[in-house]
Amino acid sequence: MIKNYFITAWRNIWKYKSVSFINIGGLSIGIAAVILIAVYIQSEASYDHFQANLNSIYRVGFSSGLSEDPTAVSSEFTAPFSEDAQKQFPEIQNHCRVSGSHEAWTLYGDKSIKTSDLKYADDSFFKIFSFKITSGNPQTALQNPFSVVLSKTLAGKIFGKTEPVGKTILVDGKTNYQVTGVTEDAPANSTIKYEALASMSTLYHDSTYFMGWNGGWQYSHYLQLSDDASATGLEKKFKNFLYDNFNQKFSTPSQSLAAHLQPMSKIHLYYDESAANTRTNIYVFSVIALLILIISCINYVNLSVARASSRFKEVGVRKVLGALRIQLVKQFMGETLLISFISLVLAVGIAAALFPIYQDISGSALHIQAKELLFVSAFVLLLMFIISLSAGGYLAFYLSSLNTVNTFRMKLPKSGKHILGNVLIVLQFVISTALITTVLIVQVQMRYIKNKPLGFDKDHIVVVSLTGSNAQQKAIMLRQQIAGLSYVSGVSAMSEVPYDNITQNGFLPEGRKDYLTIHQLDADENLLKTLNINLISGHYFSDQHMVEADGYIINQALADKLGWKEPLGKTINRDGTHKVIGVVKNFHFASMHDEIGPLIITNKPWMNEYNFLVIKYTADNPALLISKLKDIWKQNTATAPFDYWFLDNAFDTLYKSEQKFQLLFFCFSVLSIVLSLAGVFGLVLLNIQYKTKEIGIRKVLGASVVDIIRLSARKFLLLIVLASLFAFPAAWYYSGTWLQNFAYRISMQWWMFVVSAVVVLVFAFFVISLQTLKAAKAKPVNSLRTE
Amino acid sequence: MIELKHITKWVNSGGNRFFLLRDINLTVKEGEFISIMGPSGSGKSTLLNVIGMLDEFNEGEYNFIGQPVHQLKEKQRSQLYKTHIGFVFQAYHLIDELTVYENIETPLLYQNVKASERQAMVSDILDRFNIVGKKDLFPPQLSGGQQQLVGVARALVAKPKLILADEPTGNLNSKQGEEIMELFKQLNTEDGVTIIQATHSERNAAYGSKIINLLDGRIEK
Repeated sequence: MIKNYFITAWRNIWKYKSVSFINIGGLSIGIAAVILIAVYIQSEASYDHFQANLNSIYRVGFSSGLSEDPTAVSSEFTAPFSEDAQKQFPEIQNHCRVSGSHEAWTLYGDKSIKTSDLKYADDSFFKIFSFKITSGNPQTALQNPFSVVLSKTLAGKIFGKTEPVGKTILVDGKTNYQVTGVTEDAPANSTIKYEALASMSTLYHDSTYFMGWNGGWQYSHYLQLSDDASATGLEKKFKNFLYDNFNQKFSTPSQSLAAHLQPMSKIHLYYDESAANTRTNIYVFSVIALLILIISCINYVNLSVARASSRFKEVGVRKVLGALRIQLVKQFMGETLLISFISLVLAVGIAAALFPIYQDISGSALHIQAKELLFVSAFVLLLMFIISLSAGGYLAFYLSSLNTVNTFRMKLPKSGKHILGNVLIVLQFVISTALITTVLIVQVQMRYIKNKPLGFDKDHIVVVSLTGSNAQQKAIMLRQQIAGLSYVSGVSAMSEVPYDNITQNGFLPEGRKDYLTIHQLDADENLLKTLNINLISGHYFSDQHMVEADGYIINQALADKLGWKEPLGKTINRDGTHKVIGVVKNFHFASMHDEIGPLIITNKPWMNEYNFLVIKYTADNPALLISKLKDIWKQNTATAPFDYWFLDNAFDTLYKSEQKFQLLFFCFSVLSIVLSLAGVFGLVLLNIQYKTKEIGIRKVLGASVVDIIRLSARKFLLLIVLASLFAFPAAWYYSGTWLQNFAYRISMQWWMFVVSAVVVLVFAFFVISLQTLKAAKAKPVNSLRTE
Repeated sequence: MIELKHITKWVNSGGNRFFLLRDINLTVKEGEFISIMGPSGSGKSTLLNVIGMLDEFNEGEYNFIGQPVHQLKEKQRSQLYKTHIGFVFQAYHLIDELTVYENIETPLLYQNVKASERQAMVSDILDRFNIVGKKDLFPPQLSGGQQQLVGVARALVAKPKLILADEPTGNLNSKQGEEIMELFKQLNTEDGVTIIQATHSERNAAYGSKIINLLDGRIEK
């Protein structure tokens, strides 16, 4: 019996190749997309789950002032917090401080390797967290000052096949560290990532680091609480603790800090800087996965039902031969199951084949562990069953409920079924139109932020990092020598390069009682000329006005914020009083997500050392320039490594996560649009096949080819117009929500909506015309003979 | 074997009632070969469908081998006709996706016959109808006569007591038609299978032992 069913199913699949192709192809591509999206979501949702102590680890978040905005919470604070907290509160079993990332050059033998992610951590690191240490002693590895633990990858780069533990490396050309351990690389789905971990105790031996309560805000504090401890209880106790140690001494009441506990399991999705973004992505891709699934199922049901009339005879014959209804239901369910199974196998193949590309595009190194893999597989199996049951079930009950005698007459029952079919088609059109609109809006917005003038020139700029104190001290000498090179039109030294936000500090402007947090950029006299930033009023720092080196340049945004109509001559206080000597036009120093904030440019860098040299060049090919820069660098700084990058490239990376999102969104949307249009294509195909006779009769009665095309096109076109009525508001709403992420955004235009409707219209019309044309051109004698 | 009493069937259309069968009284004994004749639309097919339990009737009683069909549930009816009745259609109604062998085997599947037994029964009938060589072909690869031969073979494979044939030769040329009719005759006389056929053709009707004329749903006396 099963064999008989299987054979019929298989031969039916073969017989209607084009429809089966759309059916199985669509279903498998759909399932593959859902698998990939499920992997992504699973990977995001299982962040940090490899931590054995996951449920007892908390990170401390610090919020300032009375602001209730959860995104204003920073996880970085001064060093003594958790150390002192553990002494005072017994519920804290362990604490571990982890510093922010440092860029560092390591030297071993004659090999100089750069790491962009050196962090300092307490010796409790391996006790609290579950990072695997492969050599060295996890208890003591981070105990002594000047110890460093390397990740496997970095260790490989530095040492090759030599055993690293016990060796000494020179960091940034000034300090020797002993390698005390090697760990597996931090998993991709870990909040804490590192290439190298140096012992926290080192910092207490380095005078450039401030380890007291009132400075050096760069340490994340992780606490492991005892089993019976209450997180909320501890949070309450932090209030007095922070008051005693910090707020009372260093903060104004309106800006006093509060500490919150962030459960480790929720950090990635709720407390990380990009958490909101991650959640949006998960949400968007879940919706898309769901849409793809719905489309696949609709295609399946629609095509199967449309094709069902060709199975009427078979159903009738089987009934006459004694088939019970339940047997027919089983047969058709089985058939769907077979198709789903074929699709599933194909889908897994497609997903596996696409996985590396997908990983590349999505950028987030997708990390799937055995447990999660099981989950995804189970999910896919469940999916398959749902598809089979819903799509096959409908078909099965529909076919088997038909009256035996009627099935022989090969008539489609008129009522009801067509309405459902139309609803499903409209749904397809709604999804396609809405997605095309949204894709269009996302594309336009991304173009907009890439092309919006920044207020300064980012092209033809090369940046040299001044690594090591030797280089920083020689900054001015380097600058002079570089300025003398041909093809160099400007060189400027600065504390930070304006592209990915700038440090903020507290300032007290004239007429204010409270400190304001304002971005601060320290730069030399050449900044404006090199980056082509416009001065609105006053004048900039220059060699001629040495007396005013003490003054501040502010941007228009700050003047606006303070309500200063005539900013020149006003004063701002920080470590003394500074006069405003100039106002610059607003320029973007952060991504378009943020509005241009208030900015102060000073001529006095911290410790009198600049961090970057920014060089404007005129040559088309900077290769020669780079080699000359390298020569100058070597002559002046000896061992310090030469590190350079191009500013326009840096800007490109700024929107990396958006671009990834954009690309993935684009791919999956195009996929669902194609699937949905393929469904329409299949339906039209079948619709016209059944209308062959009608078309024949009409031709005999004198209808022209155009008449016939008009006749079959009209219904579909009406459905598209109807669909647009639903699609537009949905697209408007969701695109609008997404655009809210940007401080600088396009406004939605009517043409964006119309274009997508027209695309769908044109496509549908094309398919319909093509298919109808075939039928309409055929000789009526042939089509009428089928009866 | 078959006893129809006052069978009436109608359909309602736009407030009017159209009678398809009117007060049919018919008794068929085992071993009879009955031809039902009448013009198009006289109710021949409807009557066959009612006898075959494929269609319902509105009034009257129907007893089949002593069982009151009008009182049976669908499942019981299905059980009854699938074991006792074989159908032959004008348009053959073979399943295009199945081979000759598989088509003939299908009724046995629905009667839960064991695989080995099934094979024997199908082989028997293929042999008897001289179509062993065609067993792996699909229906569209056969001529009309051959397809109908398969149709008859399929109707007979489960060894039914009754064959219902609706215009079995309607789509065949005269020579093919004659062969099928000869086959029916032989089945009737040699195997004692009861046959009821509906036909337009006087010549085919003459193969039967009894002719019933239908007009507008009534048996003409």
